[in-house]
Amino acid sequence: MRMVMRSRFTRLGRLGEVSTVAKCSKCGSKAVIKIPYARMNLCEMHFIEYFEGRVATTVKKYDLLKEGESVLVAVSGGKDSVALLSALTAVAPELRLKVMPLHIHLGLGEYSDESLRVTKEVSRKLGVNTFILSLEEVVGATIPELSAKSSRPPCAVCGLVKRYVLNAAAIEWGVDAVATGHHIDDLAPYALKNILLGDMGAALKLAPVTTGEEGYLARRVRPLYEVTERECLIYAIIKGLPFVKTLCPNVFLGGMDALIRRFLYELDLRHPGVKLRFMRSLARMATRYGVSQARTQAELTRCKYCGLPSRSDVCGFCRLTERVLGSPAGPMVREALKDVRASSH
Amino acid sequence: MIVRVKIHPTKREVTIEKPGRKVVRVMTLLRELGYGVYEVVVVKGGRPLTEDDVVADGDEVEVYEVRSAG
Repeated sequence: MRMVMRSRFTRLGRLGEVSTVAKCSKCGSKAVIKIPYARMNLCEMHFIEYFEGRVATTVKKYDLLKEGESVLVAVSGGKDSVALLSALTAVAPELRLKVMPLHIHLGLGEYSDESLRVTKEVSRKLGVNTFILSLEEVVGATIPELSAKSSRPPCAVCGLVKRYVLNAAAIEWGVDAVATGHHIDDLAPYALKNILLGDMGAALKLAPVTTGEEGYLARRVRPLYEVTERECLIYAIIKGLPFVKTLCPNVFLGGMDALIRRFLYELDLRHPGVKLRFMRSLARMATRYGVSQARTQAELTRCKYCGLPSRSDVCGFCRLTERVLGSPAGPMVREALKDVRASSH
Repeated sequence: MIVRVKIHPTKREVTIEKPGRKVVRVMTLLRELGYGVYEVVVVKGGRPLTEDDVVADGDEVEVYEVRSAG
Protein backbone atom coordinates (compact mmCIF):
# COMPACT_ATOMS: atom_id res chain seq x y z
CA MET A 1 0.00 0.00 0.00
CA ARG A 2 2.81 2.34 0.93
CA MET A 3 4.49 1.71 -2.43
CA VAL A 4 1.29 2.45 -4.33
CA MET A 5 0.89 5.70 -2.45
CA ARG A 6 4.48 6.67 -3.28
CA SER A 7 3.90 6.12 -6.98
CA ARG A 8 0.74 8.17 -6.98
CA PHE A 9 2.04 11.11 -4.95
CA THR A 10 4.97 13.07 -6.31
CA ARG A 11 6.61 15.73 -4.18
CA LEU A 12 7.68 18.61 -6.38
CA GLY A 13 10.09 20.29 -4.03
CA ARG A 14 9.70 22.80 -1.24
CA LEU A 15 9.00 25.57 -3.71
CA GLY A 16 6.23 23.69 -5.45
CA GLU A 17 3.12 21.75 -4.53
CA VAL A 18 2.28 18.10 -3.97
CA SER A 19 0.91 16.54 -7.14
CA THR A 20 -1.31 13.46 -7.11
CA VAL A 21 -1.23 12.82 -10.84
CA ALA A 22 -4.39 11.02 -11.86
CA LYS A 23 -3.89 7.72 -13.68
CA CYS A 24 -6.25 6.14 -16.19
CA SER A 25 -8.42 3.54 -14.44
CA LYS A 26 -8.12 1.27 -17.50
CA CYS A 27 -4.47 1.40 -18.50
CA GLY A 28 -2.59 3.37 -15.83
CA SER A 29 -1.31 6.08 -18.18
CA LYS A 30 -1.85 9.76 -17.46
CA ALA A 31 -5.53 10.66 -17.12
CA VAL A 32 -7.02 13.69 -18.86
CA ILE A 33 -10.39 13.54 -17.14
CA LYS A 34 -11.84 12.50 -13.82
CA ILE A 35 -15.43 11.25 -13.99
CA PRO A 36 -16.70 11.27 -10.40
CA TYR A 37 -20.13 9.75 -11.11
CA ALA A 38 -18.50 6.78 -12.84
CA ARG A 39 -15.63 6.67 -10.28
CA MET A 40 -13.13 6.63 -13.11
CA ASN A 41 -10.17 8.57 -14.42
CA LEU A 42 -9.47 8.13 -18.12
CA CYS A 43 -6.62 8.80 -20.54
CA GLU A 44 -7.29 10.31 -23.98
CA MET A 45 -7.75 7.00 -25.77
CA HIS A 46 -10.00 5.44 -23.16
CA PHE A 47 -12.07 8.62 -22.80
CA ILE A 48 -12.83 8.65 -26.53
CA GLU A 49 -13.83 4.99 -26.24
CA TYR A 50 -15.97 5.81 -23.17
CA PHE A 51 -17.70 8.81 -24.81
CA GLU A 52 -18.52 7.07 -28.07
CA GLY A 53 -19.55 3.94 -26.19
CA ARG A 54 -21.91 6.01 -24.06
CA VAL A 55 -23.51 7.51 -27.18
CA ALA A 56 -23.94 4.04 -28.73
CA THR A 57 -25.38 2.69 -25.47
CA THR A 58 -27.83 5.60 -25.23
CA VAL A 59 -29.00 4.98 -28.80
CA LYS A 60 -29.62 1.31 -28.04
CA LYS A 61 -30.91 1.63 -24.46
CA TYR A 62 -33.57 4.22 -25.27
CA ASP A 63 -34.30 2.78 -28.73
CA LEU A 64 -33.49 6.13 -30.37
CA LEU A 65 -32.53 4.65 -33.71
CA LYS A 66 -32.83 1.22 -35.25
CA GLU A 67 -30.38 -0.59 -37.50
CA GLY A 68 -30.53 0.67 -41.08
CA GLU A 69 -32.16 4.00 -40.19
CA SER A 70 -31.01 7.42 -41.37
CA VAL A 71 -30.54 10.31 -38.97
CA LEU A 72 -30.40 14.02 -39.69
CA VAL A 73 -27.82 15.59 -37.37
CA ALA A 74 -28.26 19.27 -36.53
CA VAL A 75 -24.79 20.83 -36.63
CA SER A 76 -24.35 24.42 -35.49
CA GLY A 77 -20.57 24.30 -35.24
CA GLY A 78 -20.61 24.53 -31.44
CA LYS A 79 -18.75 21.97 -29.32
CA ASP A 80 -21.85 19.91 -28.52
CA SER A 81 -23.13 19.41 -32.05
CA VAL A 82 -19.60 18.82 -33.32
CA ALA A 83 -19.08 16.16 -30.62
CA LEU A 84 -22.43 14.62 -31.52
CA LEU A 85 -21.60 14.46 -35.23
CA SER A 86 -18.18 12.94 -34.55
CA ALA A 87 -19.48 10.34 -32.08
CA LEU A 88 -22.43 9.35 -34.27
CA THR A 89 -20.15 9.08 -37.30
CA ALA A 90 -17.83 6.85 -35.27
CA VAL A 91 -20.57 4.49 -34.07
CA ALA A 92 -22.60 4.55 -37.31
CA PRO A 93 -20.97 1.44 -38.81
CA GLU A 94 -21.56 -0.60 -35.64
CA LEU A 95 -25.17 0.58 -35.34
CA ARG A 96 -25.71 0.52 -39.13
CA LEU A 97 -26.87 4.14 -39.28
CA LYS A 98 -26.78 6.65 -42.09
CA VAL A 99 -25.68 10.04 -40.75
CA MET A 100 -26.84 13.17 -42.61
CA PRO A 101 -25.62 16.46 -41.11
CA LEU A 102 -27.46 19.73 -41.73
CA HIS A 103 -26.20 23.23 -40.93
CA ILE A 104 -28.48 26.28 -40.99
CA HIS A 105 -26.83 29.63 -41.65
CA LEU A 106 -28.95 31.92 -39.46
CA GLY A 107 -27.55 35.26 -40.56
CA LEU A 108 -26.15 36.28 -37.18
CA GLY A 109 -23.28 38.24 -38.73
CA GLU A 110 -19.72 37.07 -38.06
CA TYR A 111 -20.93 34.47 -35.60
CA SER A 112 -22.91 32.64 -38.28
CA ASP A 113 -20.06 32.98 -40.81
CA GLU A 114 -17.66 31.45 -38.30
CA SER A 115 -20.16 28.68 -37.50
CA LEU A 116 -20.41 27.82 -41.19
CA ARG A 117 -16.63 27.83 -41.64
CA VAL A 118 -16.17 25.53 -38.64
CA THR A 119 -18.95 23.20 -39.77
CA LYS A 120 -17.32 22.82 -43.19
CA GLU A 121 -13.95 22.14 -41.56
CA VAL A 122 -15.40 19.51 -39.21
CA SER A 123 -17.24 17.87 -42.10
CA ARG A 124 -14.00 17.63 -44.07
CA LYS A 125 -12.17 16.20 -41.08
CA LEU A 126 -14.85 13.58 -40.45
CA GLY A 127 -15.36 12.84 -44.13
CA VAL A 128 -19.08 13.60 -44.10
CA ASN A 129 -21.17 15.60 -46.52
CA THR A 130 -23.00 18.33 -44.63
CA PHE A 131 -26.08 19.92 -46.16
CA ILE A 132 -26.18 23.69 -45.78
CA LEU A 133 -29.23 25.93 -45.84
CA SER A 134 -28.97 29.72 -45.70
CA LEU A 135 -32.02 31.32 -44.10
CA GLU A 136 -31.41 34.62 -45.86
CA GLU A 137 -31.10 32.98 -49.27
CA VAL A 138 -34.26 30.96 -48.80
CA VAL A 139 -36.67 33.31 -47.02
CA GLY A 140 -34.93 36.64 -47.65
CA ALA A 141 -34.44 37.50 -43.99
CA THR A 142 -32.03 36.69 -41.17
CA ILE A 143 -32.83 35.91 -37.52
CA PRO A 144 -32.11 39.50 -36.38
CA GLU A 145 -34.41 40.84 -39.12
CA LEU A 146 -37.21 38.40 -38.33
CA SER A 147 -36.79 39.22 -34.64
CA ALA A 148 -36.78 42.99 -35.11
CA LYS A 149 -39.73 43.05 -37.51
CA SER A 150 -41.85 40.72 -35.39
CA SER A 151 -40.82 42.29 -32.04
CA ARG A 152 -40.10 38.81 -30.72
CA PRO A 153 -36.92 37.89 -28.81
CA PRO A 154 -34.17 36.61 -31.14
CA CYS A 155 -33.75 33.36 -29.19
CA ALA A 156 -37.48 32.58 -29.53
CA VAL A 157 -37.35 33.26 -33.29
CA CYS A 158 -34.12 31.27 -33.67
CA GLY A 159 -35.57 28.26 -31.82
CA LEU A 160 -38.75 28.38 -33.91
CA VAL A 161 -36.82 28.60 -37.20
CA LYS A 162 -34.40 25.79 -36.32
CA ARG A 163 -37.15 23.42 -35.14
CA TYR A 164 -39.13 24.13 -38.30
CA VAL A 165 -36.25 23.70 -40.74
CA LEU A 166 -34.97 20.51 -39.09
CA ASN A 167 -38.40 18.90 -39.13
CA ALA A 168 -39.05 20.05 -42.70
CA ALA A 169 -35.68 18.67 -43.84
CA ALA A 170 -36.34 15.30 -42.22
CA ILE A 171 -39.77 15.09 -43.85
CA GLU A 172 -38.59 16.25 -47.30
CA TRP A 173 -35.60 13.91 -47.30
CA GLY A 174 -37.43 10.94 -45.81
CA VAL A 175 -35.04 10.75 -42.88
CA ASP A 176 -36.07 8.57 -39.92
CA ALA A 177 -35.10 10.94 -37.10
CA VAL A 178 -33.51 14.26 -36.19
CA ALA A 179 -30.64 14.18 -33.68
CA THR A 180 -29.71 17.26 -31.67
CA GLY A 181 -26.70 17.92 -29.46
CA HIS A 182 -28.64 18.39 -26.22
CA HIS A 183 -26.69 16.92 -23.34
CA ILE A 184 -27.62 16.36 -19.71
CA ASP A 185 -26.55 19.87 -18.69
CA ASP A 186 -28.92 21.38 -21.27
CA LEU A 187 -31.81 19.14 -20.34
CA ALA A 188 -31.65 18.64 -16.56
CA PRO A 189 -32.05 22.34 -15.63
CA TYR A 190 -35.09 22.68 -17.90
CA ALA A 191 -36.60 19.47 -16.60
CA LEU A 192 -36.18 20.63 -13.00
CA LYS A 193 -37.49 24.10 -13.83
CA ASN A 194 -40.62 22.65 -15.43
CA ILE A 195 -41.20 20.39 -12.44
CA LEU A 196 -40.78 23.32 -10.05
CA LEU A 197 -43.27 25.35 -12.10
CA GLY A 198 -45.72 22.46 -12.09
CA ASP A 199 -45.53 21.59 -15.79
CA MET A 200 -44.77 17.87 -15.64
CA GLY A 201 -45.82 17.43 -19.27
CA ALA A 202 -43.14 19.84 -20.46
CA ALA A 203 -40.54 18.12 -18.25
CA LEU A 204 -41.35 14.72 -19.70
CA LYS A 205 -40.91 16.08 -23.23
CA LEU A 206 -37.20 16.37 -22.37
CA ALA A 207 -36.88 12.59 -22.61
CA PRO A 208 -34.25 11.02 -24.91
CA VAL A 209 -36.78 10.54 -27.69
CA THR A 210 -40.02 12.15 -28.82
CA THR A 211 -41.90 10.06 -31.33
CA GLY A 212 -43.03 11.36 -34.69
CA GLU A 213 -45.46 10.55 -37.44
CA GLU A 214 -44.39 9.54 -40.92
CA GLY A 215 -44.51 12.28 -43.55
CA TYR A 216 -45.44 14.96 -41.05
CA LEU A 217 -43.55 15.03 -37.78
CA ALA A 218 -39.99 13.72 -37.45
CA ARG A 219 -38.89 11.68 -34.45
CA ARG A 220 -36.44 13.72 -32.36
CA VAL A 221 -33.60 11.96 -30.58
CA ARG A 222 -30.94 13.07 -28.10
CA PRO A 223 -27.95 10.72 -28.24
CA LEU A 224 -26.00 12.94 -25.76
CA TYR A 225 -28.71 12.47 -23.11
CA GLU A 226 -26.31 10.79 -20.68
CA VAL A 227 -23.14 12.81 -21.26
CA THR A 228 -22.20 16.10 -19.65
CA GLU A 229 -21.34 19.37 -21.35
CA ARG A 230 -17.79 19.13 -19.97
CA GLU A 231 -17.39 15.67 -21.50
CA CYS A 232 -18.53 17.03 -24.89
CA LEU A 233 -15.93 19.78 -24.64
CA ILE A 234 -13.11 17.44 -23.62
CA TYR A 235 -14.07 14.97 -26.36
CA ALA A 236 -13.97 17.75 -28.99
CA ILE A 237 -10.58 18.95 -27.75
CA ILE A 238 -9.00 15.49 -27.61
CA LYS A 239 -10.30 14.58 -31.05
CA GLY A 240 -8.90 17.85 -32.40
CA LEU A 241 -12.31 18.89 -33.70
CA PRO A 242 -12.68 22.55 -34.57
CA PHE A 243 -15.62 24.24 -32.86
CA VAL A 244 -16.92 27.79 -32.48
CA LYS A 245 -15.19 29.43 -29.53
CA THR A 246 -17.16 32.67 -29.43
CA LEU A 247 -20.50 33.45 -27.82
CA CYS A 248 -23.66 33.92 -29.86
CA PRO A 249 -24.36 37.69 -29.89
CA ASN A 250 -27.83 37.02 -28.45
CA VAL A 251 -26.87 34.58 -25.72
CA PHE A 252 -28.40 35.27 -22.29
CA LEU A 253 -26.76 33.58 -19.32
CA GLY A 254 -28.86 34.74 -16.40
CA GLY A 255 -32.28 34.33 -14.82
CA MET A 256 -33.87 31.31 -13.20
CA ASP A 257 -32.26 28.90 -15.67
CA ALA A 258 -28.78 29.96 -14.57
CA LEU A 259 -29.69 29.58 -10.89
CA ILE A 260 -31.08 26.08 -11.41
CA ARG A 261 -28.06 25.15 -13.46
CA ARG A 262 -25.80 26.36 -10.63
CA PHE A 263 -27.83 24.41 -8.08
CA LEU A 264 -27.51 21.20 -10.12
CA TYR A 265 -23.78 21.77 -10.52
CA GLU A 266 -23.29 22.12 -6.75
CA LEU A 267 -25.55 19.17 -6.04
CA ASP A 268 -23.74 16.90 -8.47
CA LEU A 269 -20.40 18.00 -7.06
CA ARG A 270 -21.41 16.83 -3.58
CA HIS A 271 -23.43 13.83 -4.75
CA PRO A 272 -21.87 12.67 -8.04
CA GLY A 273 -24.37 11.02 -10.34
CA VAL A 274 -27.52 12.60 -8.91
CA LYS A 275 -28.13 14.57 -12.11
CA LEU A 276 -27.85 11.40 -14.20
CA ARG A 277 -30.19 9.48 -11.90
CA PHE A 278 -32.70 12.35 -12.13
CA MET A 279 -32.68 12.30 -15.93
CA ARG A 280 -32.84 8.51 -16.08
CA SER A 281 -35.90 8.53 -13.85
CA LEU A 282 -37.44 11.20 -16.09
CA ALA A 283 -36.83 9.00 -19.13
CA ARG A 284 -38.47 6.04 -17.35
CA MET A 285 -41.50 8.17 -16.48
CA ALA A 286 -41.79 9.43 -20.06
CA THR A 287 -41.80 5.84 -21.29
CA ARG A 288 -44.29 4.74 -18.63
CA TYR A 289 -46.75 7.55 -19.32
CA GLY A 290 -46.27 7.49 -23.10
CA VAL A 291 -45.60 11.20 -23.28
CA SER A 292 -45.03 13.15 -26.45
CA GLN A 293 -46.68 10.87 -28.92
CA ALA A 294 -50.22 10.80 -27.59
CA ARG A 295 -50.14 14.33 -26.18
CA THR A 296 -48.36 15.97 -29.08
CA GLN A 297 -50.31 14.34 -31.84
CA ALA A 298 -53.62 15.03 -30.16
CA GLU A 299 -52.67 18.70 -29.85
CA LEU A 300 -51.41 19.11 -33.42
CA THR A 301 -53.02 19.69 -36.77
CA ARG A 302 -51.53 20.54 -40.21
CA CYS A 303 -50.57 24.04 -41.28
CA LYS A 304 -52.80 25.16 -44.16
CA TYR A 305 -49.79 26.64 -45.98
CA CYS A 306 -46.96 24.14 -45.58
CA GLY A 307 -48.73 21.02 -44.31
CA LEU A 308 -46.38 20.57 -41.37
CA PRO A 309 -47.40 20.29 -37.70
CA SER A 310 -49.23 23.20 -36.13
CA ARG A 311 -51.30 23.92 -33.04
CA SER A 312 -53.73 25.98 -35.15
CA ASP A 313 -54.51 26.29 -38.88
CA VAL A 314 -51.21 28.15 -39.49
CA CYS A 315 -47.90 26.93 -38.00
CA GLY A 316 -45.63 29.25 -36.00
CA PHE A 317 -43.07 29.57 -38.80
CA CYS A 318 -45.61 30.43 -41.51
CA ARG A 319 -47.38 32.84 -39.15
CA LEU A 320 -44.11 34.61 -38.32
CA THR A 321 -42.93 34.88 -41.91
CA GLU A 322 -46.35 35.90 -43.20
CA ARG A 323 -46.43 38.72 -40.66
CA VAL A 324 -42.88 39.90 -41.34
CA LEU A 325 -42.44 39.18 -45.04
CA GLY A 326 -46.00 39.36 -46.32
CA SER A 327 -46.26 35.69 -47.29
CA PRO A 328 -45.71 32.41 -45.42
CA ALA A 329 -42.24 31.02 -46.11
CA GLY A 330 -42.91 27.39 -45.12
CA PRO A 331 -43.58 26.17 -48.69
CA MET A 332 -40.44 28.01 -49.91
CA VAL A 333 -38.30 26.32 -47.26
CA ARG A 334 -39.64 22.90 -48.21
CA GLU A 335 -38.84 23.55 -51.89
CA ALA A 336 -35.37 24.86 -51.03
CA LEU A 337 -34.64 21.75 -49.00
CA LYS A 338 -35.44 19.60 -52.04
CA ASP A 339 -32.88 21.64 -54.02
CA VAL A 340 -30.26 21.39 -51.24
CA ARG A 341 -30.59 17.61 -51.25
CA ALA A 342 -30.58 17.36 -55.06
CA SER A 343 -27.55 19.64 -55.46
CA SER A 344 -25.45 17.43 -53.20
CA HIS A 345 -25.81 14.43 -55.50
CA MET B 1 6.58 31.86 -11.57
CA ILE B 2 4.39 33.30 -14.29
CA VAL B 3 1.66 31.43 -16.19
CA ARG B 4 -0.25 32.98 -19.06
CA VAL B 5 -3.90 32.03 -19.34
CA LYS B 6 -6.26 32.54 -22.28
CA ILE B 7 -9.93 32.15 -21.36
CA HIS B 8 -12.62 31.01 -23.83
CA PRO B 9 -15.15 32.05 -24.98
CA THR B 10 -14.51 35.56 -23.64
CA LYS B 11 -10.96 35.58 -25.11
CA ARG B 12 -9.78 37.29 -21.92
CA GLU B 13 -6.04 36.92 -21.25
CA VAL B 14 -4.73 36.76 -17.70
CA THR B 15 -1.26 36.42 -16.21
CA ILE B 16 -0.97 34.52 -12.95
CA GLU B 17 2.11 35.29 -10.86
CA LYS B 18 3.22 33.13 -7.96
CA PRO B 19 6.49 34.54 -6.63
CA GLY B 20 8.79 31.92 -5.12
CA ARG B 21 6.95 29.00 -6.71
CA LYS B 22 8.33 26.73 -9.45
CA VAL B 23 5.09 24.95 -10.21
CA VAL B 24 1.45 25.28 -9.27
CA ARG B 25 -1.40 22.79 -9.35
CA VAL B 26 -4.22 23.36 -11.82
CA MET B 27 -6.63 23.36 -8.88
CA THR B 28 -4.75 26.30 -7.34
CA LEU B 29 -4.70 28.11 -10.67
CA LEU B 30 -8.45 27.72 -11.00
CA ARG B 31 -9.04 28.95 -7.46
CA GLU B 32 -6.96 31.98 -8.34
CA LEU B 33 -9.16 32.57 -11.41
CA GLY B 34 -12.37 32.05 -9.44
CA TYR B 35 -13.50 28.85 -11.17
CA GLY B 36 -14.73 25.55 -9.80
CA VAL B 37 -12.86 22.46 -11.03
CA TYR B 38 -15.74 21.15 -13.14
CA GLU B 39 -16.79 24.54 -14.51
CA VAL B 40 -13.91 24.65 -16.97
CA VAL B 41 -11.47 22.56 -18.96
CA VAL B 42 -7.81 23.52 -18.74
CA VAL B 43 -5.73 22.73 -21.81
CA LYS B 44 -1.96 22.84 -22.26
CA GLY B 45 -0.43 22.09 -25.63
CA GLY B 46 -3.76 20.83 -26.93
CA ARG B 47 -4.19 18.30 -24.11
CA PRO B 48 -6.67 18.60 -21.24
CA LEU B 49 -5.27 18.69 -17.72
CA THR B 50 -6.93 17.36 -14.57
CA GLU B 51 -7.05 19.44 -11.42
CA ASP B 52 -4.12 17.43 -10.04
CA ASP B 53 -1.72 18.29 -12.85
CA VAL B 54 0.77 21.09 -12.43
CA VAL B 55 1.80 24.01 -14.62
CA ALA B 56 5.26 25.48 -14.50
CA ASP B 57 6.89 28.86 -14.96
CA GLY B 58 6.45 30.13 -18.52
CA ASP B 59 3.59 27.78 -19.36
CA GLU B 60 0.71 29.01 -21.46
CA VAL B 61 -2.65 27.40 -20.86
CA GLU B 62 -6.13 27.79 -22.26
CA VAL B 63 -9.19 27.70 -20.01
CA TYR B 64 -12.48 26.78 -21.66
CA GLU B 65 -15.57 27.72 -19.70
CA VAL B 66 -18.09 24.90 -19.80
CA ARG B 67 -21.19 26.69 -20.97
CA SER B 68 -23.36 26.80 -24.02
CA ALA B 69 -22.31 29.55 -26.37
CA GLY B 70 -25.42 29.83 -28.45
